Amino acid sequence: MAEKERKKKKKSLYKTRELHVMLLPAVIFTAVFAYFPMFGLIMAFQDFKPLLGFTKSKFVGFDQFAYIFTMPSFRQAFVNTFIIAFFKIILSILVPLILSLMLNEVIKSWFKRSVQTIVFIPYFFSWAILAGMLLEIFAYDGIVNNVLESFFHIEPIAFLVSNKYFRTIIIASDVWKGMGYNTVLLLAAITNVDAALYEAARVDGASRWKQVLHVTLPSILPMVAVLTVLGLGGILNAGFEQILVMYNPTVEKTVDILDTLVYRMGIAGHQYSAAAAMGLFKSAVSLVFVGISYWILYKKSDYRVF
Amino acid sequence: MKKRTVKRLLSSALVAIMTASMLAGCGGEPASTGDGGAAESKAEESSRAPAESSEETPSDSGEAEAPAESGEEAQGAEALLLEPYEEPVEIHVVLQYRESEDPETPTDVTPETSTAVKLLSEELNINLVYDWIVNADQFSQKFGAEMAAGNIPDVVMLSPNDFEDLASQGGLIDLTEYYEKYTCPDLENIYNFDGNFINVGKKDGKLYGLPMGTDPAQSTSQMYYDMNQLKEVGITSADQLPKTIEEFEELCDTLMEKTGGPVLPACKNYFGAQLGDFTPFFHAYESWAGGWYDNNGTLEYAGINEKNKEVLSKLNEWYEKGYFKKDFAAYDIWAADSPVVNDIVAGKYAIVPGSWWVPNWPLNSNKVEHPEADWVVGPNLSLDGEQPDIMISRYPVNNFIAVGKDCTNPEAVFKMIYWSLQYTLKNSPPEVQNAMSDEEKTEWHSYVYTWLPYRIYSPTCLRQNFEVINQYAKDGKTEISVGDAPRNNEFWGSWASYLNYAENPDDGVAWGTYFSRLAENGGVDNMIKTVETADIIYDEVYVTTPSMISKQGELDKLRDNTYISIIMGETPVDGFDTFVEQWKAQGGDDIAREVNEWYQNK
Amino acid sequence: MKVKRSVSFYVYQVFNTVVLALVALSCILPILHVFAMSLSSSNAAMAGRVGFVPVEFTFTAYEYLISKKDFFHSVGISALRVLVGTSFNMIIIAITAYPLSRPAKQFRARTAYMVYFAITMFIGGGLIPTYMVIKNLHLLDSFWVLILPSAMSIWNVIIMMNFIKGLPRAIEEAAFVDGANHWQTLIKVILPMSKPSLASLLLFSMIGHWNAWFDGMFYMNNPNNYPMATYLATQVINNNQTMTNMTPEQLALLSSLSEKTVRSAQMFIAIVPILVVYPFLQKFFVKGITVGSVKE
Repeated sequence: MAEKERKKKKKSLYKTRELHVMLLPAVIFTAVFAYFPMFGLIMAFQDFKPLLGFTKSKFVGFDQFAYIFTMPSFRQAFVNTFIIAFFKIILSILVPLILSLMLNEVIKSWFKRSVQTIVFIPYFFSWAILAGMLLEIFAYDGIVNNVLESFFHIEPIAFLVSNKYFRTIIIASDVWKGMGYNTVLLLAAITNVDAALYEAARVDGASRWKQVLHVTLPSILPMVAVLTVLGLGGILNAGFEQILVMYNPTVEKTVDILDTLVYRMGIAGHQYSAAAAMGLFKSAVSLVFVGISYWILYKKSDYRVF
Repeated sequence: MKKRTVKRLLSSALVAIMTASMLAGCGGEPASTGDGGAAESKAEESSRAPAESSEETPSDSGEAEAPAESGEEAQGAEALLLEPYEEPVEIHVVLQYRESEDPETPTDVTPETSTAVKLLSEELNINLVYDWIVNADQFSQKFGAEMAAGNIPDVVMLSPNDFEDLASQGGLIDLTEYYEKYTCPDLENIYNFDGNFINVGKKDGKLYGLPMGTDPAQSTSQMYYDMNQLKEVGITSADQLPKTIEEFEELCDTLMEKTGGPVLPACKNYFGAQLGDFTPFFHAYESWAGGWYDNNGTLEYAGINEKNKEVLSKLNEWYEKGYFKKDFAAYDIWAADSPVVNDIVAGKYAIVPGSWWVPNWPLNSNKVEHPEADWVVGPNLSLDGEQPDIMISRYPVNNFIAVGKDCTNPEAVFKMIYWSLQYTLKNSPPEVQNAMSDEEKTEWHSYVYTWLPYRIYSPTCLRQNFEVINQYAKDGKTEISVGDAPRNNEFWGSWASYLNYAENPDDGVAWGTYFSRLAENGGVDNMIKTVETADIIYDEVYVTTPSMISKQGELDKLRDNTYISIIMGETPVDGFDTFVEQWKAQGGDDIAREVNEWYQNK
Repeated sequence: MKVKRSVSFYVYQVFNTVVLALVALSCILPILHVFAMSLSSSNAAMAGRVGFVPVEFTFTAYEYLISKKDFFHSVGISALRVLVGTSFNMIIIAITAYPLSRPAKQFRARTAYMVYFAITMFIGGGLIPTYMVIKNLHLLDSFWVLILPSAMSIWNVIIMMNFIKGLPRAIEEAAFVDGANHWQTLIKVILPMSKPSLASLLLFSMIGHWNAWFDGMFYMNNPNNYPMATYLATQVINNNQTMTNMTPEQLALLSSLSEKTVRSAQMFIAIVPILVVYPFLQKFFVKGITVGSVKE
């Protein structure tokens, strides 16, 4: 009888009406602010004229796509996007990995905690503010050049207009800004490594370095893999806000990305249809990458994001 | 509203000088036309700055009677223009916000509470409604989004691109009949100064916008030298100033030895920036970064001319020598706190290339800080010492004043422009200014012309005022009556600056306004001489074709990147040929076809 | 336990400490620089003589800011935005993450909902269509345009969802056995156990609202309605101060007041709240983001 009672109670678990109610606000917000604007994607297949509207603008099929593929600035932005995003993804895991391994070796816990806290700080600053600082630091007469000149006797470098260096600055500053997050994540994973494994290694006479190599790294490898694959899904998001506030026409050759190009064309250049086509193309490519990477995750480590 | 307070603060300590408030526009305004990326150094835009800059009066001088009085007993169109509406009429406008250039504009005045809004409502029953206000540099984005949403303001100042785009979509009202009904000499001076200019605003015979232009001569550029600094390298009189590129280079080398460089201001706006750019050097080689000239009946684009290689390799040579800052291309001359301008003000350069208004700003600031500075205009540079051919626009159109399709009272635009004109004319003369009560002064300073969707600048006023005032000066006049004044509203400002300079010849600010506009061998004088002595090649294209709307932006970017890259030595000069190929393939050929079609059928 | 420590170990420790200290320093120095700039004379700032200590100490920039109402007005808008926006975010995160964390066996529609939300992570309509939608909702120029479009963030919901999934099932089952419905379970059982995740998300949400500038610029019709970050961004990115004819008095005043120092003061004021809030929520961090974003 007690058994029956329990079953009955447990049934309430399966009552889902409340769950639907809970989801309602999110469903509405998503519909209004994410799905409604998607109708605008029609533009990509039109020669959209605002005053004619969606209904009267001429339908041109895939002409806009054909047009953007002939644009050198599009090809350039596409390549740049890949390069920048690729390095950002790799480095934003590699740098925190090294940092967390180093932090793990630190004995004084106050130091460990402080560093962990401090490296997280830049994560919280908006690019609007950081850009101002960075542009000043890397100016021709900025601090970096001063240091290079007085300590290393290197001729000042025009970083801000240099197609050789500016991309590196973009990548490095982004990695720097975000490194705190993954450091915390990876350090937590390292701390969770079973102490018995280290014990066993020590018994075998493994040096600290060997322990890192044979115990720590393998233990957190799955996590590193997950982070990497997750990052790959965003390979076409190379950092719109950052680049928008930092770049200048001279370095467009190396740092112009799809998002900034779409912005320039669509909003400032009033070429709504071409910009929409670019945006749609980007979505499509991203979707493929996300699909592949999530599938790999699921197959290899049974990890499901959703 | 952000920066206004700076000026408030600045002005609080200030003695009111009429000149300052009236002419403020001329020097300062170009700074704001360089907003963001929009004002990439396009030759076509080069003349834009001074046009918008001056808060002036209608021109066309002499004969007409004083406008202030003419209001009451005016005939025909004038009477219609001054007639108030019986019922209030709402006119929706949008605003690319800039601070008032008049330092005495009261702090608490906003566009909504400005004098124009108040008086237009009182005197004409027109209620000006600002639909949105956005800082100047974000205007194009906001306008793009609003346009996409199908919203067009009632009265709006449009770039040639937007004008073409909107007109072709049927977004603008045909103003032909209103234009005919409301036309009068005062207004003609603004948008039809030579009897032909108005046609620029026509498409298929219909008038879709009133063109706002400048004197074509304003796109010339000149060389300013500080004789005081040049003394130290042995140049003691203006005759010794360089005439040829070769001599110029020698001078720069000498200066390099002495100062270590850089010796020339430079910025990413390398051509047509009107200040601290390479325009005079391009001109010396009879080269231009943009513009369509007639070559035996066919229009060709100057920016892809093989000849440009010469000037680019010369500039590259100079760059390598260290004449310019190594990272000059990172700086926008028009950005606030622009290091280029700061350096000019600080007296780091003995040579400053620029337009006629450069003495008005920033050389005046330099002179305030370094009263010993002695700026003169040098000869226009060339290869052989002769005046080179110059290219100027047939019709330098900067903007169009247009009326959106949903406007119920299209004629209001004429009434508004006319009202502004009358208001400014009436209140500008020194006697009127001096007789103003505090309250009237506040009202006058709360009239902020940049907050209105139109300008009342007459393209011919610079030359006219130069001639008229110098004539009066010769006659020894120090007082003139309203009737003796040309009817452009830059006149009284210029007149005041003439008197002011006569009284305070040591004052840097007084010198700046005087030297730019009125002085013999000053800015305007040299500009006039240049266009009068040089052989002129016209940039014939003043229309925007469909391909221009979609492709010009990217093409200009391609050109700018290539040019700067060649100057900086990143691309060898032969990269120019590749650029020409790309330019043609990416739409340059399409544009060439369209402008030629237009040119043949014109 | 004692481990034998060699010389090389100490060398390594020193090296390690130095490198980490440098990295940490790289995160602090820019703030110090900005702070020092804001307290320096404009001459020193313009001449680039300011490093990490104020040069020719002065409060001019702050005095100027205080006299300038519009900056603090924008700070006020930002504060309100953080308050209201974060509340919206947190409520929606909680009530959305909970149903989505139910196993599909119990809540069959879960997969459909998940797909519905996830699609929006990868496909968007773009700025212009979004602008049209917002315009048609009459949200332009309204405070709510800063709140509503960003109210539902699927990323944050997923972090929270994964956190809930990681909680021991036994406790909530016990709650059901005691007759609790979903609402009660969520509020009485799940939320109290999710403090670390909630704290992290709270922090992210607050900072997101504090830092967001693009929407303010794009959707507001009047600079008076800009939140602080937009106000700053429009100044930092493109500042079109027009210099007009200046009299000697003006120049003197201007030279005592450089844009650089004022901008630094504004930046510093923008940073301070973050530096204040962060340490309080920081202790929840490790657990909050670790469990939520990547399951072990």
